Amino acid sequence: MKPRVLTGLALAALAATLTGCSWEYLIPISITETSDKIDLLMWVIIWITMIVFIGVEVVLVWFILKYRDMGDGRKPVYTHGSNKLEAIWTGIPVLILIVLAVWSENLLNAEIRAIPEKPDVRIKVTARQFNWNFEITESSGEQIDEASRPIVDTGMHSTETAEPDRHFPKEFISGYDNLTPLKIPVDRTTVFEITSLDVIHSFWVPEFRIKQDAMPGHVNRIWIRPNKTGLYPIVCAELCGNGHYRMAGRLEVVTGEEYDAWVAEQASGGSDELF
Amino acid sequence: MSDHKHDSGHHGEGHHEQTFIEKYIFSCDHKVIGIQYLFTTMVMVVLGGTFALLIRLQLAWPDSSLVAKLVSTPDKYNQYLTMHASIMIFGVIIPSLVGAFGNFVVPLMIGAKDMAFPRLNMLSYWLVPPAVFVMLLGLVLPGGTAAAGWTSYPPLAGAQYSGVGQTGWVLAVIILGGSSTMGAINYLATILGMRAPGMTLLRMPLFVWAIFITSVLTLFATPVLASALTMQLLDRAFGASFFVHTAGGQPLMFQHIFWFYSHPAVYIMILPAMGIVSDVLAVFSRKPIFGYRAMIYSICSIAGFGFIVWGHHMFTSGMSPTLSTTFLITTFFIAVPSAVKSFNWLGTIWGGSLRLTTAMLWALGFVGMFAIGGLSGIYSAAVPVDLYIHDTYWIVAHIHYVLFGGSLMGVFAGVYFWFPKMFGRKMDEKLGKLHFWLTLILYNFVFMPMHILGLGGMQRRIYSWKIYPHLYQLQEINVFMTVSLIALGTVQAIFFWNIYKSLKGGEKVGNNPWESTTLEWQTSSPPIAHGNFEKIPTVYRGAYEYNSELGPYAPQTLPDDKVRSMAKA
Repeated sequence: MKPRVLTGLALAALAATLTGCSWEYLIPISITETSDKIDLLMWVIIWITMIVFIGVEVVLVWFILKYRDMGDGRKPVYTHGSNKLEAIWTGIPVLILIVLAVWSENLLNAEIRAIPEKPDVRIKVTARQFNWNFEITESSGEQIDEASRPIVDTGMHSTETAEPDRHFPKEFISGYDNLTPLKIPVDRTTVFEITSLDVIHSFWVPEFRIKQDAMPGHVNRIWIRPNKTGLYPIVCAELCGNGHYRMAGRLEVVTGEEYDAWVAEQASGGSDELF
Repeated sequence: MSDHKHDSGHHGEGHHEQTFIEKYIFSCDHKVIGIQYLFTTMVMVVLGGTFALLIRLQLAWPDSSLVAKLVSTPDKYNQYLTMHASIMIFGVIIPSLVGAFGNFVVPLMIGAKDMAFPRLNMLSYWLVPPAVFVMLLGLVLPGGTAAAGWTSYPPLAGAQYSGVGQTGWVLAVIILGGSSTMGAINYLATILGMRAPGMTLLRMPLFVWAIFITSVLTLFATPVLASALTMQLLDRAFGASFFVHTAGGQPLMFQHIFWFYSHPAVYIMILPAMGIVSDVLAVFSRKPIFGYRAMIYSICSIAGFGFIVWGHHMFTSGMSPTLSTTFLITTFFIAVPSAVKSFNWLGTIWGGSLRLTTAMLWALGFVGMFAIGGLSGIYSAAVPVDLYIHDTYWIVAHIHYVLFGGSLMGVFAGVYFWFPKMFGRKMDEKLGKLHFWLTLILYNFVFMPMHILGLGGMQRRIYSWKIYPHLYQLQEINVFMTVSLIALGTVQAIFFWNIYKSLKGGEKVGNNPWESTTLEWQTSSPPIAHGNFEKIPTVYRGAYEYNSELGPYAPQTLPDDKVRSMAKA
């Protein structure tokens, strides 16, 4: 038994190494403190469910092997159950789930729902088939008057329903690379106010972990405070029509100075990237 | 659809000579209707699987020109994924579990001559083929079928953004809902009013309990779906604005009403399978089911909780925090009864003498695979985690582990288990086991990687992952899944071949080939056409008396002394 377990572990380690080599990541990196906390909760759930899963499968296989009918006339146990056992295997899951529920609720209230009243940056996100429009309405905690608001529009293609060639020519893929990124500052709070002009979309940056539907006629808010600079994808996560799969945007988390310079430049030069 | 001619052995006594059509096509006999449902869903599962194959081909090889012929545009892709889900849910899972087994088995198990309302029952079945026809009509209409996913959220499913195919879909689902509701009324009336003498509620097999509670769910939930869809229809066809935000409507309201039905619906899709698995495990473990009452309480609490968790499908929709907290709590707690059931199944096989027939293998497979589906649901109950995995392939993995590894395995268990009762012949065990093992392995190959895709950030319902650089690394996995799916689909030919072969020349069986205690096995195989039983049986005890002091197994219809003398002989 022992050598077999060791072989199994060795194989598992090998598999993990191999996948690790060819894989950039299992889960996208986490770039906010909130998403770190979400990941912690997720890993705890992964561990709990893994243990339960392995336990159930091992017991199942063990029972099948041990109690299969060998034709030796062994008489099965006659029992209708046991209240004690029922209490145990009802009680333990309830306790574990209470802990997880309280933890989830606290995390929601302490982090995700605690949208700051006075964020450093406020961005109006307007989704439409099939692109994103970002309008920075507040920066450094100050309202920007409408004429000089920085606007980034991911007009990846026109809103006409003309389909691009399905073979994804190079320039179409590089369409993503050529998208103007929305810039937000690192180590400052940003609030996104998300709405939609047509159908339901969902604003998602996997590195934030959080996604939020863009509902027509509603404004939904999320907030983040990134702690790593870099380029990240913006994804539409809700089926919104035939261009759902390519409703992409890019988000660049930059240093505070770079961001301030960018906002100033946008405000003075205006933006010719409108629609 | 399914006008297969079945050799029903006995002919009814007395009544006027029935024509072929009365007997096999427009029949009011619950057994014929059950078999009609079964063969209809077999056709449907091939259809739904074909749509699944088209989806997966596109995801594996988006650049191939052959795939381009099959899935020509993103819009076609959306239509296929909508049809795959709609056909599988409304045309396969619910009609096979509730329609086929519910119809065929429930009256037999409780010792009734037929369902309470045989004509209504016939209507229930005959609403299904036309509804599916209407749903699929879009394939040949301009604008195609519905393409807004099986959830059909407005505004995308509204008049402005979708075509006539969506109207067809709405009508089809309303009709199917009507069929389900009629069936539910029928089961409730049958179970509550037509049990044989001595068949108390607490002597009923768990499958009957499952259908009973499922019918309560169906009866209360389905009309709500019909109301949501009717509003959608009014919006589409008559210019109403229930869900049109530009005219004062509320798109979010549709999600609430829709999930108020569709969450109970996922339990409608799993409870009967749990019932089948409970009965099959008890029969082939030669032991009473472990914790019979706990099992019933679990079924009831799943049904109760099932009505107050619908919002967990909408955690990212921006509903009020108070609501999402409520749904967070209830969703965590609905995991408990499912866990209790799983532990009780393990308790049932513990200390048994397991007869590893094909039906038993499917039931054991259910226990193993449903655990995965149940556990991956806990991630969604934890709202902060759900905000990440919502609308990703993680959810697709979850639903497929519950509906394939759960519901469909339950269906297979039921087919192999009750086939002898339906046709008086056994299915081929060798082919059956081959079918089981290949399906079990390949199905995990298809759906297990979906967890990785979901955590890797691949969102659902995308026509191509080639837009986002962070999804390129998932290509090999997508190819692996598609190849596995092609193999999985091919393997199902073994099952269909087995059905065909066994209908023609399977091993003939007597009344009770599995040595079971429940009532359906105490009459001829197949049961006589009119009335099921020579005379209405009397029930003396619970459904699971195996290896008690009375003997190896104690049929519910025999008094104690007869059981003892049977054991001696």
